Amino acid sequence: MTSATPRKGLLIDASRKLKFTFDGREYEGLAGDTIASALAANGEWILSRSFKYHRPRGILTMAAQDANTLVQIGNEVSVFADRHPISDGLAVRAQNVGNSARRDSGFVMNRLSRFMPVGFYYRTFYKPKGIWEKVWEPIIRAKAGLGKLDVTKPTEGYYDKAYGWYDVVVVGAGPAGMAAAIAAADAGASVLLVDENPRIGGALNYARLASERDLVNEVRGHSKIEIWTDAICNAWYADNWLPVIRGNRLYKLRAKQVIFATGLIEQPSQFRNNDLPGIMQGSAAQRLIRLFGVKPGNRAVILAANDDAYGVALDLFEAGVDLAAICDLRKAGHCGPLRSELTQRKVSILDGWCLYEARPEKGDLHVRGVELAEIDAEGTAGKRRRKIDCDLVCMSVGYVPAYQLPLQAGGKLAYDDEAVQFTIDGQDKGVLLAGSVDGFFDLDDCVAHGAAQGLAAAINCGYQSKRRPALPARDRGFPNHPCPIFPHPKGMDFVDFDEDLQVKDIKNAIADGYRELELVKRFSTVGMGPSQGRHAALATAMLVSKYTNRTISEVGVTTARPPVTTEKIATLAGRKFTPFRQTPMHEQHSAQGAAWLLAGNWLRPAYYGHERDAKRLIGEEVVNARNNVGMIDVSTLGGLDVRGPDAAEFLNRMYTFAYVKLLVGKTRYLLMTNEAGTVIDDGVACRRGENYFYVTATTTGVDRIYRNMLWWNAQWSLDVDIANVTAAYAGVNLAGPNARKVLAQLCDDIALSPQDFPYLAYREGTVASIPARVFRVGFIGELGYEIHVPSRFASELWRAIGEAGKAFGIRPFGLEAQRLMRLEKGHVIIGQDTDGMTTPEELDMSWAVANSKPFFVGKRSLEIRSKTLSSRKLVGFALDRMPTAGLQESNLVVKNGSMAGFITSIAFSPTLGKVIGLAYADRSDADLGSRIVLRASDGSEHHAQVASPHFYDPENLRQEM
Amino acid sequence: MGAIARSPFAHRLTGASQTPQNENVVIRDLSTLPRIGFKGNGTTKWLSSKVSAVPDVPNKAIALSDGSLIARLGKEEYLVLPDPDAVGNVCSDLEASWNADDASGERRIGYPLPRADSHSWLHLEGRCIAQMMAKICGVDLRRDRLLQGEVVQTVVARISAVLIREMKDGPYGLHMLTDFASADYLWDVLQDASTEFGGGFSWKREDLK
Amino acid sequence: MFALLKYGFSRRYPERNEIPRTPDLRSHYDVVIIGGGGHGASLAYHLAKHHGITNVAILEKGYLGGGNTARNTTVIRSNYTDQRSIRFYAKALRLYESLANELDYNMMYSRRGQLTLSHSDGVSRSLRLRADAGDFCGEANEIVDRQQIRSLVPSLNLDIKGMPVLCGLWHPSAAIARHDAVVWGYAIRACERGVELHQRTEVLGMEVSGDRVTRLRTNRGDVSAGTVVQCVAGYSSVVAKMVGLKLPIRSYPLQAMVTHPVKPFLNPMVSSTALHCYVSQSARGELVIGGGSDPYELYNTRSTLELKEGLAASALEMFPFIGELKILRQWAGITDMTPDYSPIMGQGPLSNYWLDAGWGTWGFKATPASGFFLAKAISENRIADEIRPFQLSRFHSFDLVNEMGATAASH
Repeated sequence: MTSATPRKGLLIDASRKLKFTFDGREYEGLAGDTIASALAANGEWILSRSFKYHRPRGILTMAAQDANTLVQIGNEVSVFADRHPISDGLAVRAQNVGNSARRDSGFVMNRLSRFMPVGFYYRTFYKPKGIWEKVWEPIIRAKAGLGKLDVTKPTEGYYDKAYGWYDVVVVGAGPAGMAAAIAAADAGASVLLVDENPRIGGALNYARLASERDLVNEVRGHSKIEIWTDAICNAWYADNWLPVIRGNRLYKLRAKQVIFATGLIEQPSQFRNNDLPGIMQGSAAQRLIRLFGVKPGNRAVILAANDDAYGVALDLFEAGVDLAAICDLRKAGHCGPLRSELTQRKVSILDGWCLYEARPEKGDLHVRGVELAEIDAEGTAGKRRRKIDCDLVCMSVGYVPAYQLPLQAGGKLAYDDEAVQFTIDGQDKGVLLAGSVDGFFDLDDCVAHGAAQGLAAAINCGYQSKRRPALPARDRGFPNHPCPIFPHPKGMDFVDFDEDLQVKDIKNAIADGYRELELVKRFSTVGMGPSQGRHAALATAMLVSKYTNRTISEVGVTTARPPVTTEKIATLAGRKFTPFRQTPMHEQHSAQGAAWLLAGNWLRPAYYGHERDAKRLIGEEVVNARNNVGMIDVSTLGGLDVRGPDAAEFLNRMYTFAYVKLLVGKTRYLLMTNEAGTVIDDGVACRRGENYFYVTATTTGVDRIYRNMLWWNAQWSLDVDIANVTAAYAGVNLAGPNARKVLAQLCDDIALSPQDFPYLAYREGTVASIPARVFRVGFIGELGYEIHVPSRFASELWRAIGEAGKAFGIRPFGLEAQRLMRLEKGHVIIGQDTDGMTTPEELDMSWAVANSKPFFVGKRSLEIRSKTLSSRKLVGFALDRMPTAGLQESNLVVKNGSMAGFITSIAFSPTLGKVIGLAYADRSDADLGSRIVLRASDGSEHHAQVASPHFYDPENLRQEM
Repeated sequence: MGAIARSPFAHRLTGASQTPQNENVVIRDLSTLPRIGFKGNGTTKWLSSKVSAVPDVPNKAIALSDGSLIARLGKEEYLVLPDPDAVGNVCSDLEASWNADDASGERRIGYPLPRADSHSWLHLEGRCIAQMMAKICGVDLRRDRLLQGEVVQTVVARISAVLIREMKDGPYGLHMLTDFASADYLWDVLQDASTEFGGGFSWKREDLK
Repeated sequence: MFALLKYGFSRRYPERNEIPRTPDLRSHYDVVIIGGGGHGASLAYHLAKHHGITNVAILEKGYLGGGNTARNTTVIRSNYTDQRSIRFYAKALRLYESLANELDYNMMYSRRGQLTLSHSDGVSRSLRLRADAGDFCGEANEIVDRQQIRSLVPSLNLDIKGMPVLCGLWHPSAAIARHDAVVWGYAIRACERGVELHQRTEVLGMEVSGDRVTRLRTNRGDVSAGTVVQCVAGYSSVVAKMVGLKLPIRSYPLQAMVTHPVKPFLNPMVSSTALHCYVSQSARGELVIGGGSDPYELYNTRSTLELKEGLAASALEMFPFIGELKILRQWAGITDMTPDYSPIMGQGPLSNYWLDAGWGTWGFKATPASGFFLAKAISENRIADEIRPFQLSRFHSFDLVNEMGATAASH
């Protein structure tokens, strides 16, 4: 069908030739061509094979709506060939074919189709037991899927996102959308006009329509209208939140008003072999002719049920296509102006006839002719038949509104059984519909309706206008046939092209009892394929209505979920925003060789040195801190300033312990439970002043604790101010027998002697000339100082301590060494040694619960829980050596064939020379000296002795030095 | 104080200097400059008695005569930024003044916040700032929407941020204060977002301390 | 197979009418089940099959299996933390394994295995607890290292920036099944035994007298029942309120999406709690991508676009080659979350009103077992040991079955 004369079309540039390949064969197209139009211009009509039966499929809509057109480009599967532009060197492949789209070994499935009735897989393949998994599933699984991904090729390309704001966003730049945009912009609104096509104009670009106004140029010349073509509004979310995809960027737009002028989706007719290449929508033929200058065939039969069909016929005629016949489903008496033009041209028009069967070329590669039948009194194909040769069939039998976006916006779809059309109503108040999607089919009505809705939108945005929106009447020209379905005894009368579903499949699903539309859909999978029922939903509803003796409105129609059309995962992902946090000493740790560990969203040194030496290094860090002095970056620890006259009372309510009587210059342990009495955080309260506590919280817990505090105080209204100063203060824990000596090098305004600055005291002064909050706590069990300074000066502090500590053998230690040393000391880590149920009592920390207080969060639940104690308790345990099977955290503690608990912490202690740990064990085994059974992951069981968890320096002599 | 304040971006400001190709997006690090916040009961009353004026509603900033900005973040919460090009003593004066009042036993005067340590401070200037920010922030910051002195407390690339439209005529300027500890992350985000405009960070050797 | 051949040659379709037309509503039933989803159908089937209770009506306000049965992502697994949960879900797994033959209906049960990834020490610990607990209870579970993960899922990216994969929990018996077929199979076999399925029948209210529910008001008339059971995932609180019962349930929306079908490359289901995402490939070849039922209220109900964006970003981290794969559709379900992430089964305070609720994201996998045990309990009017731990009263006694760690992003 290649013509000698150069092609002329709205979208193509005949002067720029491009070469591309399809299934390895090279083709030439023109700039502006889509893959499908370029192939068609080369006489290649087969784009794909159907999913189940591998039937040849070609152009159906030319509107990027149907699965017939899906091809693969690189790792992009299921590309719409009728939307994707060609480019030089583009390599296009057919999907799910044995060889190529033209020659597909899978076509044998077509012969087997009669053995695959609807839902057959529910009834077969499972007898005898086990055969499904062994034999059938792998076979069927291999048939699944269309495209094929190369899993070794990571997605390339820069995908990102941007936000945008408009008064009015108009989706769809057809006549109604353009009129709406102009009216809204004229009234002063900022307008964005979005259209998925490369050119605005909609049906004006391809259909036989003439508008008095030059809407396209009016829009283009309007300063208040921004135009986005090749842009897809893919969903509607609450408050007019619209994702619009344009190239590799996902825009998220907020509009005060949205106008959906999304138009219509033309529907196919159902007859035998209605899926053959060469059978297409009337609008598809018009798009080929007008947009791409492609002659869709040489000899055409037109299936009509509305006057648009006659426009198609005239277009074909003018494009040089022979008109073999027009077969009009309607009875005689339709004589629009277009029809008389055709009768003048002596085109044969058969009124009241249907298309009963399309006859294929060998291999079903193309339509070769049709068999027409006169419609009988029952509305079905009658006995009078007529065969006509042709290579093109155009169907113009009706439309459904492109209802996806309006439905997402809360609109309800109903069916008007008399007018035989869908209606949409009740969408969100910020959303207006314009034009044919709202039931206006006449061009002038669409333009008038669009203008009225545009003006209404502007007024809703608060713009003033003297004019009032005037809505046209909705009563002209209904183009839909009530049921253009003509089942054939031999089938292949497809309702759903994606899923290869025939009329009998729907009928049989109903016969099996799946009578509800949704059940039909789920049982048969109609509408589940890539085109999401765009061309199948109405026909299915018609069939369900017919076979269950209900009206279509009683049957109901299905819902529409986002996205409207497909969207790439990379588009949704965009740039990756995964915040992480670093302490001010980060670079110094790096320079010292830190191995990193993620704690919450903080990066923390696990230890210093190479991974292969980790065990040794951690041991050395421990030994050095125990014998000389160590330093660890504790900047990630949560920090909260709690200030105000009610500060002590506030802590009393938030935490289990008592703080009212805590002296200024002292610290006290903090334990927090939630309302269920479960331990959720701990820390230290430093009393800086009568009304001022500096409170620490766990690294991962602080943000939640801070929110909790604000939430609770919103109810209590205590006179207290809470500030999360976690990032503002960095900290170093300086610990070990030499800690005091090191600190003395750097600090001359705090008296450091044990009497002046005893254990658990809090002091302020300067360390290395930096203002510092200093307190003595003993997490690892050595003489230690926690030094907190403003973040800007923390790297200087780290440097100065390292420098001053040199003479005393200082060495930084990481999180691993700290965890080990705290375990030697028997200190729990919230989140590791506790779980979602742990009470203070289970931890033996009732000492930190002030029961005499009238209230703290969790008190009531703890009182209830103390009446029936849980069956478990956290205990310390020790083993002389690690069993060869290896014991790990989370290994079970078993008793009498049941799970009694699990190990929460376990390590070989370099200090003590044995394996120590903490575990939940049965309460009856909590006494010191009891034996518990630890179960390694390999199932082996190991006895351990319950010991005091305070393995190291139980008298606390070292930390209180 | 002997030690030198260090910006959380310091490790990224390497090499002698850098200037973006054009003036579409120019980002400067002001994190080493002083800044202070106040919040809590009584803040408005106390602060009003110390400076010539404070913004009358939240999410507004006003300029004082020395060029410094006072941004009102809440009913009882403020942020004070000195003029980056002529840093005066406003922050240290206010801090000293608060300490003195606190020491003298005055109550209900709010509480100072260590904003210089909790937040990094960037200045963004150029004709494409709003466009660039639209890629990482869901608030409409266009010139005609975010007026001079308007304050937005929002999320930028998933971290909390305080944005203040600069109160100077000329190119569009925006102050951005975000989490001190997320600076390394933010640097990459801004670098990535500004590349398409030919923009980026700008510094001179003499800025580096 | 023979039936297929027969059909293929005969051309006459055997009309089965296996889901009967909705009959007239009678005034009384021995058991009324509110909710015609998987659980309701499974319960009806087990009542009829094992206990001879056939005077049963299932009242479904929409269509059969149209609620969360249709909206879940069909994961079947037993890798929980608590012994009591493991036993319960293990029973469900066993029943699933032979369900096609039991019901004479192929629900395409497909053993894929589930891989749960850890990117942090904390998660590694919780995975080991699940591995060991499962192993202890006889359910196959193991911790796999990076090398083993590579061989299980060669296409998976283990070096995700900022959160490299440390290890994984491998649960080889985890499976998927065709969710609709499960409810259809149960309903068909229940109806064969006399159970009545009433579609488009909505319970509007219930009358309570003393400690009994005496009457249900529906849009098709009133009905009374000896025993009433509610199986209405997503609406548990709403229905329970009709009998004056307040459940400790918060309902969260949960989202999932599927991509265009591609040739199979991913056999197991892969999930990551840190990425709030799981990915599996359906029998049709679609990638099913779902989000976490996170213990933190990270998202509100309106931010569905943001949730989808997050899911896409996470899936792309795990499988960096799927960037140009396209989302075909997305959907949301309402999940009824309990404080301990375990279900509520058994009687409430009313003597003839039974609860089957709080199924969060674990309802589908429980379908055969909830029906099995509840039917037994209702017929004997005595709670079976296997479901005793899941009674409503546990929230008052704090004897919870904590499965938070085993639930996030794993469904």
